[in-house]
Amino acid sequence: MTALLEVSDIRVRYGNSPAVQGVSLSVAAGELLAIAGANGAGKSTLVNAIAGWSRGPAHVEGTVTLSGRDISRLTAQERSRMGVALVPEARGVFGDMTLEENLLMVKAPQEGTGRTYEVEDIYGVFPQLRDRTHAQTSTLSGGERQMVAIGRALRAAPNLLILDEPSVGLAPRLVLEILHHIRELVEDGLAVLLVEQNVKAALEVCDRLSLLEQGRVIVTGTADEMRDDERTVHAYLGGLRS
Amino acid sequence: MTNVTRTRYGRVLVWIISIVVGFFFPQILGGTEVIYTTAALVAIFAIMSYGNDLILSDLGEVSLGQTVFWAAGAYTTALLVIKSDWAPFMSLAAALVVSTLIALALGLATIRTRDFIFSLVTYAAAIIASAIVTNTAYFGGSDGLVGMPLLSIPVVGGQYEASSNEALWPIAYVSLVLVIAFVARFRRSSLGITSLMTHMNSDLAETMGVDVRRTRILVFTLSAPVSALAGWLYAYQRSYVSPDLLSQFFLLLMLTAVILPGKRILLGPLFGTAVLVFQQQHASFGGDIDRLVLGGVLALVLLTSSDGLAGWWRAITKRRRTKSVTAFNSKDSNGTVAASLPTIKE
Amino acid sequence: MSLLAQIVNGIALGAGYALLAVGWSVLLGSARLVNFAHGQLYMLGAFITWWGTSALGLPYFVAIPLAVAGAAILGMMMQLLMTRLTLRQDLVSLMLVTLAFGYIFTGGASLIFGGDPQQIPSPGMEHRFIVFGAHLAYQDLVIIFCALGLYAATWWVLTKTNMGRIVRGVAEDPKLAQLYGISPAKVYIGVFVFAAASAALAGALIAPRSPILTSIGFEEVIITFLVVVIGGIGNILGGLIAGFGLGIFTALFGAYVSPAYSMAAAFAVLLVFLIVRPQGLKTS
Repeated sequence: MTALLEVSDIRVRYGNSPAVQGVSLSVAAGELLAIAGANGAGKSTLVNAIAGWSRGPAHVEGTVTLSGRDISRLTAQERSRMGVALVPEARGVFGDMTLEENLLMVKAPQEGTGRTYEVEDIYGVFPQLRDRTHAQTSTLSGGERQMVAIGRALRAAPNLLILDEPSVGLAPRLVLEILHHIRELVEDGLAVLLVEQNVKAALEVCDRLSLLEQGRVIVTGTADEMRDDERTVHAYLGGLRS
Repeated sequence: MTNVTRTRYGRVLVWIISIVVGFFFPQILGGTEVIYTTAALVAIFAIMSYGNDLILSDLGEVSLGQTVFWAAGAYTTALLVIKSDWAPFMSLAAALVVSTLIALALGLATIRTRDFIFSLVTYAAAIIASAIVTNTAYFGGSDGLVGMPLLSIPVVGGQYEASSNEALWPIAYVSLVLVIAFVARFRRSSLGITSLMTHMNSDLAETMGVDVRRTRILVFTLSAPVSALAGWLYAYQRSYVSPDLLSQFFLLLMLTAVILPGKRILLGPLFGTAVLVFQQQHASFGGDIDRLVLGGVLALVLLTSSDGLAGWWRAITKRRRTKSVTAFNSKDSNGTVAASLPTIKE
Repeated sequence: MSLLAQIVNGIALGAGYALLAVGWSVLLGSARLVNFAHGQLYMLGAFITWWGTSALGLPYFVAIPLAVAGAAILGMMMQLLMTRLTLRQDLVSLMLVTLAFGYIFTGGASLIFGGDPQQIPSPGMEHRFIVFGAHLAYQDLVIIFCALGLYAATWWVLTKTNMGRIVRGVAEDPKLAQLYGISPAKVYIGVFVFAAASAALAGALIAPRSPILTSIGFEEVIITFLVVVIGGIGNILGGLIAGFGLGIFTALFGAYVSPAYSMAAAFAVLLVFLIVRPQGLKTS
């Protein structure tokens, strides 16, 4: 499989403190790459930088290539229009708007991106949302908000979906349910980059897993390989502790 | 003598020499009445601007109503001196008290408001004050109050009368030096430090035990008598007061004097005032063009530099330029971590 | 004049206040930007209209779109210059830049249009009629209808259209809006142009009531500020109510106490509001 996303030597620092120190990875279409690691390992910073986005001021160096095109100089909204959809930590939905408004608001993607999703299609993926279509998003439960966030990411017809800690604050059963939905989308051809503290859940749905520690990738392997790797277990316990 | 005391003595010596040279500066430049007029105005307007400096540079708030304190100082002086024949230092004391009370009232009224509402309230206060003063006979209406006597203070051996700008200069200069010393002292004081902490990160400051509200009101109230002192001097210098003291001209002058050099530079407002007054007095092409110049300078500085001339200087001397993802991922960002000014907190 | 007549006067006055404030309210609500050049844009709206009728000989109703377009262009230029600061979210500097621009507009207008008072000739001012004892001109009716219309249109766009959703999204969280494919900078330009254009429209419609000078605009900022704060920032309906309320207050205070101090009295009321209920008429 040719890589859809190629990330080369990404370095990110906040002021003088480095958060990501030279990470390279790649994700192919129809593949789910999971990124695991303890808190503070730099997972969110990494994927935010791939999406060209950040909450605070960050210095980013390195190259990001999407379908062979260098998107390193593009803004977050431009990358979004090119098919990179990021669901950030803490959901990323507009609380002051209704569920439906959140889904309708997404700017129509440009040509050459992934499969298009109408609002009705989103309800097909997440049927629970259909009843809550006119509810104020701030009144939805954590799980519902997470589904809305993923739904609105899909509305951008992405080639690459980036999920940052979708399991935080959700019941384990719900987490697996959502991750299995994601897996179905991957089978359909979507490329997914999944940041997960919950290594166990990540291993259930990923094709490959990379372990991040202090801003560097220490090992990457297939799901089977990583399941038995000592360092994965260590990261899992590290994730538990924090 | 140790190295430390030697440098401290050295620094004090430099200050003393600077103060003496500064006193004789107008003399050095020619000593004409025109030069002394410019010098006196620079001193007066600089004092006015230092009041604003405390709020803008240290506290980090934008008060657009500093002209109220400046005008309150001038009008209180004029009212007491012209109508009731008060002595200069008594009228000065009254000017300081009145302006402080107004600041206290405004500060308490805006205690619960967010940053930009504070700016708007202070802005409105100046305009409302202007409307009140213009429409009230007691304040002289739109013509103002005329007939200020000369500033005459008791000294050893009689009275010193400031019958010209040259004679007023020492009084204005001494006031300026005192104000600058005050600002320097303030910045080293605990209130100065807490106000800076509040400026940088008020939430963090609060968790560290700083009473943010109290700090804000204190600094705001402290700035008023500084500008009022300038008003007192100006009433004597110009010999009349009128509602134009509350106009945008003085507001823009104050703001530009502080912003142009760069914030929190001790002699910054003095330098900024000198540049602007010089343009007004000696390079003017008429009132309207002066407005374009003053507004243009302020806009230019704010649009192109993060911190006035000092910011330009820093940008030029900076070697490394790294690509950065700033607040909105602008393509030509210069890699600075924007921590200098607070943003609106919801 | 009877109380009812004064109230009718107040309504006519208030419609102008509301019209003046709508753009500022949307700008403040969505971009959190205080535009201190607002009063000068009002003044320029009035003066470009006057210039259109006197120098170009245009009919009044043709000069109005000219003024609105002129202000829109100025607004766009301002916002383009301020883009770097907007992206940095340097709200303090942005506020001061608009203050500086306002001052530049004052000087520039005085240079171009002169310092003499001028009168905009509007057919709407020529005929009066009596409503409940109050003398209104057709101009006042136009202002009332325009205010109601503009508010309704603004409300409809913000709540029912996708453009409105985008503006609201940027208002709530501009960073997040990027992930939705939205460019906050472009939204800010659009909102700023709307604010400038509506301020100029207010100037063009309201200014014929009395002679205009290039030095006006400062009271207008206070009025706008009062309306927006009392109505609640970004609250469209609240702004409309606050505008009419302020108009009635001003008319009554002017009639029964003193016209010169009505702004000061309104300001005093605002200070009370700020202490007691800083969020204004907003319910959330």
